[in-house]
Amino acid sequence: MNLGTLNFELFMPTKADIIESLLFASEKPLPLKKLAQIAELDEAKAREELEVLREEKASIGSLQIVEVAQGWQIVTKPAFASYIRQLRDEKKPKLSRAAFEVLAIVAYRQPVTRGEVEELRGVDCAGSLHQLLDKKLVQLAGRKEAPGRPWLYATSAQFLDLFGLRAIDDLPSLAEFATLNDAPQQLFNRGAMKSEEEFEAVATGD
Amino acid sequence: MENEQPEFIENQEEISGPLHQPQVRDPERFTGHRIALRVFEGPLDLLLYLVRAHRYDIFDIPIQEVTNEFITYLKLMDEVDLEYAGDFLVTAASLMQIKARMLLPKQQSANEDAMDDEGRDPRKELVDRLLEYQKFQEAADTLKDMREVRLDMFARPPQPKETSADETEITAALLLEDVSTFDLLRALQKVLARLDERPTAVIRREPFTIGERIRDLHRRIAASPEGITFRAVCDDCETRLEVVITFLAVLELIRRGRARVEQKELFDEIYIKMPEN
Repeated sequence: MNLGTLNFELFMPTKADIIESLLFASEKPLPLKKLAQIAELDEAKAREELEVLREEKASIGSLQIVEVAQGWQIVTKPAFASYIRQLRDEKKPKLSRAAFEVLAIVAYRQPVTRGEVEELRGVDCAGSLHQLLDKKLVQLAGRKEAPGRPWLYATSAQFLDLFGLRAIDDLPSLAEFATLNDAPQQLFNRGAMKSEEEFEAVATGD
Repeated sequence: MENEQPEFIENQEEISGPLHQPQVRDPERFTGHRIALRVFEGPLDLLLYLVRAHRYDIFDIPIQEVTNEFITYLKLMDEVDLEYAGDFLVTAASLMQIKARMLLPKQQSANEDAMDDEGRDPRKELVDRLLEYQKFQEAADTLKDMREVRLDMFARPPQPKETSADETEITAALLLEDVSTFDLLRALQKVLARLDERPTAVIRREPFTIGERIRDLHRRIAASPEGITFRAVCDDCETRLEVVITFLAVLELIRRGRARVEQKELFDEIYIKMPEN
């Protein structure tokens, strides 16, 4: 009985095996639709298999399966990043603080004009926007029907992939950050204070 | 903002200490750290910092103190980078305006109920902006964390394909959504280069005008439903001028909607065809 199953597995790959092989061989994230089609499964079933595979991979080995905007992908687990960077001889690409702020505004307010971004930050943002366009994290999304017909900016599919998002809705809601409105003290938790201890020390030392 | 000068980076260590301490009342502390200027992303960032550093209640900011500190900072900055300071000047002006409105007698009459003409605290607008900006700062931090996590995951790099050297450079995004004027120009260049190879000893009179060429071209396109290549169109050209005239004729036909161009692959031949309808 056992032997029979073994033989069966040897000669007939499971759907999970097929899916794994496809994910490995694909150079880009693989859309669910295509994956299901090649593995001869309906999409719901393919997703089920993927989830099983994902859990299996998560518990063992150096690889994991992730879902991003453009589909499913096999990637290495973060623990191995330092080794792989040595192998590829590359450093983490840098993005400035300003660029992150502009990106956040574009992500949550898209489509948005440069003027609107600058109004929010109170500072010129042309440089950061260009940097983001250059890195293809942000793209032009037509023009606003307003005086001067300014360009509108939106995040790209690449942005979703590079930030591990399936869709823009995956972003934590802005309202979560807005809770600070109710608790102004929390303002101090960011930036100015390094730790609770320091906070206390300063408070008493005043 | 982005083009940080090296000296600022070099001094990062030494400035981070004092900056994170809340006692910034004494202007002396500030003047010692000109290099710290770049730390702030803008006037709102600086204001938020001042509020945090002094643990002011954001809904009851002591405008006078904040304004003084802000201007101290601004003076300092003025010496360093006028362009960067520009954005801060605007905010400094509105701070002073708020300060002035706060000093108006109406404000002194009561506490909570005391509002100005429009029935609002003059600081409200500024506070709203600060809170809004604060939200996006938080969001920026979150995005940064998300990116950090994602950057540590590596996918298998694409396998090299059997393509020529310059084709491997081409990304999917570049592949032909439509043929641009640049592609046409490139085709023009090719033909011109080919012309240069021909012997050019004979000087002839210009045999056709743009108008003639347009009519001629239109006839030829109409006669061949699969289209003609730009190269073929230029086959009877013997001088650069004739190629240029032919090129102008193609552009003119496209402009008038009498022709369209198609290209199957990057750097492939460009076909000139009749429009779809």
